[in-house]
Amino acid sequence: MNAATYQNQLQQLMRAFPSCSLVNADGALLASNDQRTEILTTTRLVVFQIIKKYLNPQPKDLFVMNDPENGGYSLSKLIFVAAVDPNLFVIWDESCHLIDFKIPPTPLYEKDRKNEFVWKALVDSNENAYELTEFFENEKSKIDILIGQPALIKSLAQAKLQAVWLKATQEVFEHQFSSKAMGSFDCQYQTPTNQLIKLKFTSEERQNVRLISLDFTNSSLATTYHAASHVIESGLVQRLIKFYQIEKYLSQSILDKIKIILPPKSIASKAHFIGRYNHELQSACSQLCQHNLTQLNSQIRKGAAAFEIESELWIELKAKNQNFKMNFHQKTMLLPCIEPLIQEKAIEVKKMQKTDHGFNLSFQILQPRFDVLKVTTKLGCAKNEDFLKLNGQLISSGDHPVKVGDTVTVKWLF
Amino acid sequence: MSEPANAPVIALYLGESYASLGVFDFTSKKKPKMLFEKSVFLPQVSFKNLLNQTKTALSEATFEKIFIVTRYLDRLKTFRLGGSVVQVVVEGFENSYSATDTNSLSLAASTLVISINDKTVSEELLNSELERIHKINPDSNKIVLQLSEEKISAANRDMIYNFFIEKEFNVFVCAQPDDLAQVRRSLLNAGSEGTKEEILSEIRESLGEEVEINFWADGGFKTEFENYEIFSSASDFLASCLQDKKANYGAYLDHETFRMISTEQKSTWHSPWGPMPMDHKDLAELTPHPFSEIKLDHLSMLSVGKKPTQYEPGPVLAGRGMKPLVIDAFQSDLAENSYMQSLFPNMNTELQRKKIDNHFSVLEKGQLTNLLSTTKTEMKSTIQNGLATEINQFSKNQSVVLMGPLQHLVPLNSKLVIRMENFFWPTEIIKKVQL
Repeated sequence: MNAATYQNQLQQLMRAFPSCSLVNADGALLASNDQRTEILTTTRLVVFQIIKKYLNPQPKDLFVMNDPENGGYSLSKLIFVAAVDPNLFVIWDESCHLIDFKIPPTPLYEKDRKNEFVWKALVDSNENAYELTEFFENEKSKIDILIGQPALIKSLAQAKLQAVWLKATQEVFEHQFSSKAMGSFDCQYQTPTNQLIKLKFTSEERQNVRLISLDFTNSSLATTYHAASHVIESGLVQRLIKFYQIEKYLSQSILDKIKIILPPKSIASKAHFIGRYNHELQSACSQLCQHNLTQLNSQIRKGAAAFEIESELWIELKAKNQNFKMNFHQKTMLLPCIEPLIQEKAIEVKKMQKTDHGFNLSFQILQPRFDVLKVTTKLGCAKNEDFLKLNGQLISSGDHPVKVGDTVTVKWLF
Repeated sequence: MSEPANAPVIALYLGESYASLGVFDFTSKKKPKMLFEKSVFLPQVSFKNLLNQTKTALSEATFEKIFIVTRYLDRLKTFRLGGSVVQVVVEGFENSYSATDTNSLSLAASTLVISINDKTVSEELLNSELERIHKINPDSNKIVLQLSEEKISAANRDMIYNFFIEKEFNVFVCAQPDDLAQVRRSLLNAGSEGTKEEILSEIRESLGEEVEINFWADGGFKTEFENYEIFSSASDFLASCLQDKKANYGAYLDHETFRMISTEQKSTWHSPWGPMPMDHKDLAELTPHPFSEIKLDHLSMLSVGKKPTQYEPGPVLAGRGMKPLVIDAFQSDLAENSYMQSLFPNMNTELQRKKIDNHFSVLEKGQLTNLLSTTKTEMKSTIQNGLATEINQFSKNQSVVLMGPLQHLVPLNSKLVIRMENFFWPTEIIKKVQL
């Protein structure tokens, strides 16, 4: 089997997981898939190392954790680890808004059987036991389907083939590295909390070793606004592989060529206890990285091209055990919750108007089940400062209590 | 189910790029006899030509009924629709259908919108708005009314409806304009009207105005339906074949699609234009698409394009195609396939074979030499094994029915696999007419 066939098999294995990584027993990354807006590439690797160290996963076991302070991303983002072979592990994440408490590394299934003790404490005692059971069993079924394909698993777990694949991805990296500019570029961003994130990008070749480094030295220390290093790294790695056009080849060989320097306890390295600013900081740092890459590779590089953060707004209308998300990013809008909320007569839309220049939304809350309007991400929006209002008053990041009759207004300019 | 008449009946499968037609004599209702059959690749032989050939071959016959299963409207799935569709909406709700997911394709031109305020609407205003619309697009001839009962009075809604009927617009009324999914569905009905009319007019022109045209929609053949319903015609038909075989999952393969079907009904269709209410049984598209191009990628590696190419001019084996497609890689495997031979009569000629071999030889040799280099043979094997793996994954390792004329490309031979051998669309269609 050649490396191209091996790559195809990796893609087949990951097909059912929009956000997942495959690693071997040594923890070497074989492939990664990040199709969602929240990027967890290195977060999943951290989780794998923790679970491997403390719980020694074996085939037919299934582990879960979410603790954002110790390797996780957020409380609702559950990260699963399963061994499909002693030399092949799948790590994936799924959101579950029924979970709003920390879960340390926990064995859900052992040797294909539910861990009764864990199940009782985590699921049966929960007021949403039925929904949680369904959620966890569905995740388990994804792994069962993979295990039902022994030929594919056996092939992917072969150390010899893994070595060929890792070597092939290294070749790809070197080829693509050579096609882009070498040198360094740096930029900085002042956060909404008036802290600085400084990022210096360097790509260089020394003694035939090609290396990319991303240095956050001199960034502000963490105060209340910070995110874990693996969260920042995940975003950076994604930007890099997209820029070098090696998304399908991300493996340990490529990770080993990326050096990320994050000063301890900085704004970009200290984990937040619930991951409150993870997306916002991941997005900002990724954009800094993109800016450096673009500037360094630009034919008509402008010395004074200042970094400008993209406009991004994520809001959540929170009800008990339910979150309704609305995401705005430049010209892209994703409001999947609006339609069901209109149908359920949970909200009444007063205005919903999309033009070539922007979008106006105004709705009134009709049901008492909603308690909070949460602004999770608010970046940029320089064009229009009064873009988000609650009952006519401007609102900023954080939680805002809501009640029946309240009106939310969004004025989003492209 | 419809009662077949004694006159010959036409069973037609109208795919995105091809048509398979059979004429059946129903004198013996238990075993209808096939009088004529023909399959054509539409970029090379037009639908009208096929109908005329049928008429010529059976010159004595009059056709009273035609039964159609189709995927023809699927060719619209990559397009923004509604270039000639006007929306009439309540002021403040302009283009709201497209706001909840801007990644979806649009269903109407954003400038062809008439905003209505219940207090100020008048015939005069409609006239001036119509004048504006005609300046933007003089061919605008369809209109979708999205006027909520709560926001626009019944009198004004009637006035607006009658105004556009009088102006000879094809008027589509969205009954639930507060439901954006319903709005999308109404816009899709309007946006696909032209394509449906194209089919109907060609049939009537060739077979006569009186011919009864039945489309498979929602579990049976119907003469009355909304356009959106025929988007799921083929998958719904295949799902009914699965039910006959008492299976829950099926894989269908022909030269224009590899896809999974299940008997589980879903009520929301996540269409390229956004979600809309529609019962359907499509599960997923299998990869790769048979019309995807095989090419050298940015790394100079042999790769399969993510998106399929246009059906015109078609694969190299069809004669005019200049880019090798996935289906071309399987030319030698399909050389004896009667379905492929009837669609592409020249596919086995020395000239076509050489052309295909040359294309792949150039691609193989053009690769950068490294560990990822591959050959056409290896690539074919990867594609076939990949299809088998995907089918197993989608069917959750349960039993699966393999359907379609290219099912033999899938190397699955376990006890869990049921093959509908000698799959020929008109024969399968006529079985359902018999029921």
